[in-house]
Amino acid sequence: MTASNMIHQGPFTPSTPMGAIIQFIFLLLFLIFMIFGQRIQTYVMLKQIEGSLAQLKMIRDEGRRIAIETIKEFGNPNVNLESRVDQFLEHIAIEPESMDPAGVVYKLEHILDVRESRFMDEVRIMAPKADEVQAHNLENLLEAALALNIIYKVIRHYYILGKRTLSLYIIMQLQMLLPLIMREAKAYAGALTAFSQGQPIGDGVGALVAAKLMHGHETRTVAEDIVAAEVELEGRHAYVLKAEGPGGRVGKPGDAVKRIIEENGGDIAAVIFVDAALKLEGEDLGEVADGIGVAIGGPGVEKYKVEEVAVKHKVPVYAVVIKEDVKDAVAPMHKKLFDAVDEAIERIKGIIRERTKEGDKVIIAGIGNTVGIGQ
Amino acid sequence: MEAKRASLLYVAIVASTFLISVVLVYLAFQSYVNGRLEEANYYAMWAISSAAISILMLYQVRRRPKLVIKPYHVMTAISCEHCGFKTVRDFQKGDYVFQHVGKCPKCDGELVITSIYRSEEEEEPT
Repeated sequence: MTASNMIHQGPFTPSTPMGAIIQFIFLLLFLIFMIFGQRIQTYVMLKQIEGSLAQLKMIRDEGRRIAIETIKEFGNPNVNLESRVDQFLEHIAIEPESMDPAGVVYKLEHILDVRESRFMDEVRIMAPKADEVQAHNLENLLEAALALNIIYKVIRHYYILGKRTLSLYIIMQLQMLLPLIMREAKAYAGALTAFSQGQPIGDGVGALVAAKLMHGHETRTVAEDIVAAEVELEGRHAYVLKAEGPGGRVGKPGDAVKRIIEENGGDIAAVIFVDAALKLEGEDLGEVADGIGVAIGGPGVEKYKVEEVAVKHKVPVYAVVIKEDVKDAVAPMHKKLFDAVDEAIERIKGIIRERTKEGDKVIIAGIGNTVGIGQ
Repeated sequence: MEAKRASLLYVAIVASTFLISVVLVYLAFQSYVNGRLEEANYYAMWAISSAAISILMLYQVRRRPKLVIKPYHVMTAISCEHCGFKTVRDFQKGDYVFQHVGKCPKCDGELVITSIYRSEEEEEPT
């Protein structure tokens, strides 16, 4: 039997009424997909975005709920907490103008300082019974809830915009970025409980390294929210510094390093930064790497200050980083990160032994949020 | 943004497509039994196509599992600074690393929280 005979013998061949209908449907479908294919694809993508958006809304609402519940413990009964938190979640900070970039770093620092103090004032009004440590944790918690709100609203904006304009390009970009955005949102969701309970987070691993080095030594405040201890390490005089714990703070390590270098008239043999760094896919959680440069994340203000003073006094700057995923950075610290601390300390000692001489002065700065980590 | 429920029309289309596929499977079977192999193949092809379409349509409106933010299981490790005695317990609010938490039951030395961590086999909370 030939192929053509086989095709023409079935019940759906054009010669039968059913066959003619099927052929017509086929043709119709072909035309529909040819003309409206892009639109159908757009609707399918919009449907996928809608699902993720519903999840983002749930995460955002959960963030708001946890924030309100936690603040209630220390709450001011005269304050309408829900409306106050809602107002906080809509907070905006406008970046300084950078058309004339000279001095923009300090302008940005000023904006960040005002933002920080405004947040702390807000926390003190909402939770007057909270002590300093709890107030900083609450501030971090509110910031995580704020980040979730912003993520949700931005995604909703592009979703509605895409739906209104039916622009495949807006929708496609959103759909392609969504897996990464969802990961970030879920990471912040993990941070909510960490901040509400005051548990150490992955980002604090640098601060933990410094805490381990300075534990048992006397500390002094050297910059805003930064404490330093003087420690003898491998025959060198080390200034170890970190944000003051156990409240959720990052402090101003740039100012602290600058002050110590200037106090010593630039006579510092090395500055070693220890910080958490985002790992690439395929790398292991808690992998330790070292190199050169200022390992301080964030908006760049603190990094700029250190680079400025390091160039001025020709102080070499080294970095030891502990690799972690974005979800580990804000979630309660993973055991592997705790285990990596000892290896990071060995790397620091190695750098000190190889790059400096006995009797030299060095600075070791543990960078990161020090929530749940004392000293 | 609430996840919308599937419309009645959509459900009717999915159900009828699936029903057609079931009928086509039956017809394919009948044709096969009667020795009309080509006809059976034809029916089977259509049955598979319509079943695939209905499953795909059903997949599009599947209910996503409700998102629950479960807190991580966090442990607190406590050690004696003097004799090295170690104990691990669940995290309690207020714990922090290097906090002094009392006297060692063995040597009366200082007990200090040495680490607070989430367990290794932990899954994502969401």
